[in-house]
Amino acid sequence: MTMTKQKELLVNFLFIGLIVCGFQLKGKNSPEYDLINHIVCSLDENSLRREFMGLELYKYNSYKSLNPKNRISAFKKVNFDLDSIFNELQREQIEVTLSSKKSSEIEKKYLSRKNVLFPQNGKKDYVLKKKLYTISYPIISKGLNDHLYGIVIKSEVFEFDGFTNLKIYRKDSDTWKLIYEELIGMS
Amino acid sequence: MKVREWFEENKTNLRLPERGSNYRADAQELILPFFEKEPDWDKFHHYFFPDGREVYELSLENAEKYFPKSFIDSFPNQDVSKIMIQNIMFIKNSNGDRFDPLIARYYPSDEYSKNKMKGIAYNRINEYWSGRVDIFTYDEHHFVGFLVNDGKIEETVRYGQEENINARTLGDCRSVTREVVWTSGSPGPISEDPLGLGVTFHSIIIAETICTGSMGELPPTGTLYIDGEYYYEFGTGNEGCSDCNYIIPIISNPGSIILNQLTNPCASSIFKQLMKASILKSSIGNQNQTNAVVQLLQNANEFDFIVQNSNIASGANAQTIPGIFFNTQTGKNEVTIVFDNDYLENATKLSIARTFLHEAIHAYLLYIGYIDPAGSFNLGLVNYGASNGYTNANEIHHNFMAQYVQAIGYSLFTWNNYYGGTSNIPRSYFDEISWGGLSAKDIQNGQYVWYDSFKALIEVESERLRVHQNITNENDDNDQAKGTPC
Repeated sequence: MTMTKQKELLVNFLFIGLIVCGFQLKGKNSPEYDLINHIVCSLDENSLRREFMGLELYKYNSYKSLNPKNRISAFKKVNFDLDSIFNELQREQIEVTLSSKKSSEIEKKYLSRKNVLFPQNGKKDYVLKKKLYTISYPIISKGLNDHLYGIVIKSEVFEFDGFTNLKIYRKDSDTWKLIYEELIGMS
Repeated sequence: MKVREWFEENKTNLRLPERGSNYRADAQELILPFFEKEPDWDKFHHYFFPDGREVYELSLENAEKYFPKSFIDSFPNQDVSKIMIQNIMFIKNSNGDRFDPLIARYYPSDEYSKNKMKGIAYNRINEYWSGRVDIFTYDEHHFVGFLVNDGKIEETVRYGQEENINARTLGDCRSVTREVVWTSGSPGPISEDPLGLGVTFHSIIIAETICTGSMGELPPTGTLYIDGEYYYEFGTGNEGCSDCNYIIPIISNPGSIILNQLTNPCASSIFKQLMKASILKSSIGNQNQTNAVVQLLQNANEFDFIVQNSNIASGANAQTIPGIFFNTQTGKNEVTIVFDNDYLENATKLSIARTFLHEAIHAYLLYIGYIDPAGSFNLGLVNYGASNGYTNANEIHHNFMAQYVQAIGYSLFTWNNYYGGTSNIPRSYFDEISWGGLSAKDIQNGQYVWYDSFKALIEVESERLRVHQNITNENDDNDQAKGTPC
């Protein structure tokens, strides 16, 4: 890469960073909590774990590893390619987001439904006869056609049975639309 | 393959130069007859030493084989030539213009290790494998040996007297004499064919120096001795010699495949016990039945199955990750099983063993789906899901897995007999708790929603609830549990 290209990339990168940060201000109106609130609206009361789940368990430690196209799986039906959504700068931004420190817990005050959180009691973190959910802190980025995209992991467990999915959403008008889903963990 | 072309071109020149007129005269040294090397080019291991040098390791067929006598004694009345593995390692020289071959011979010391010989290579000794690894130069001078116990190098062996070993190993070394044997493929007199295998046995008593530990990188900096004779200096930057067509490469220690990455000691020991129990024969029932579930994974040599623990999703005991990870160091695909820390803290040993077997079947089905997607087994699984209207792969696995319940129950029963430490558990109890993860999938209006297979095979609702409660008891290690705490 030439020095000029590097400088251009850096400037663009900072610019995009500013834009992203502009709408990533903490709070209920941030796109991350907008997506979280979209997800929790369909969940039962007392069913969502307060701690976010990490991406490391699934070896999602880079944009490349996050891209479903690069993952080998016995179940994948569609070779979904994140490169078809995100340009080079946006990929760089996602890379930075993946390596940055993220919130460890859901901020209750930012939830539209506060009673959705599962009250943990002691060291046991499951209850009989109840479906429990865990999500990761969403990765949000602008992408194709200036749409906003969100990538999140969601786990659904009922007693000794459960599974985890990678979900990719696109914000259309005022709502988040699920555009890709892949099973990434089975219990 | 480039290495093959190189070998065909150079194989006749791969000899160590003679070092003095009495080089082969020392009665203590072992120089085997020069066996013709016929690598099997169809299958090979490809990996890298820690310093980045590329290695190809291939099976090496010989009509004649070499054995430590103790190895023969470990497997009485068995054809040991079929138990050992003999490979040739082609180590790419740092200059990139040639390969330096070595011969690796692997000798298991127990039945478990004998069963883990398939797929063995210098960088992937199974973590519970015990035995001896001997490295020879291409022209059959003994270079170094390793005595391995449960995947760990406990001692290193060099042929010859102690004074010929590098000074830094002195103090931790002992000298022994032992018998080594090699065979020739043609039948000899009965006196030379004690096992009646139709081959001629040759025997020699040699002296060995056995030192504690791995000795580090081999050969170390300093003087290298082969069969107790000076060869040349290492670590000077001027290794080799003008008349050398073959240079003994520096090698790292043999590497283990660490599949068991559990940091919870109790869970780790259960995993090890299940691995060891997998080769045990039943003392009742079908004499030939082995622990089929763990055997599934043990036979899946193309993949590594990693077991870890972590904080995973709320409520989950464990997860198998379908995303297959390619490990560039081992050159193998990996499937990972992750146990939840909270579960390991609270469940009985029996429950943890049960969960491992359950996840092992997930891992095996994933492996089949990847390795042979168009094969009859995987297509059968896909058709099974389609014909029953299952859209979620988890649901397909959990309904399909019902046919393994008895195998899980049998494996648990065997494990408990040897390691579980709990007596008076009825045989049927092991089958019942094997339904763990395959019984309830949801609740509606206060009633469990059962998996179809569970519902079909256990027809009475009160029985389903009883079985499900037994699973819960073991999961929570409550007063009703029959297993012991982990």
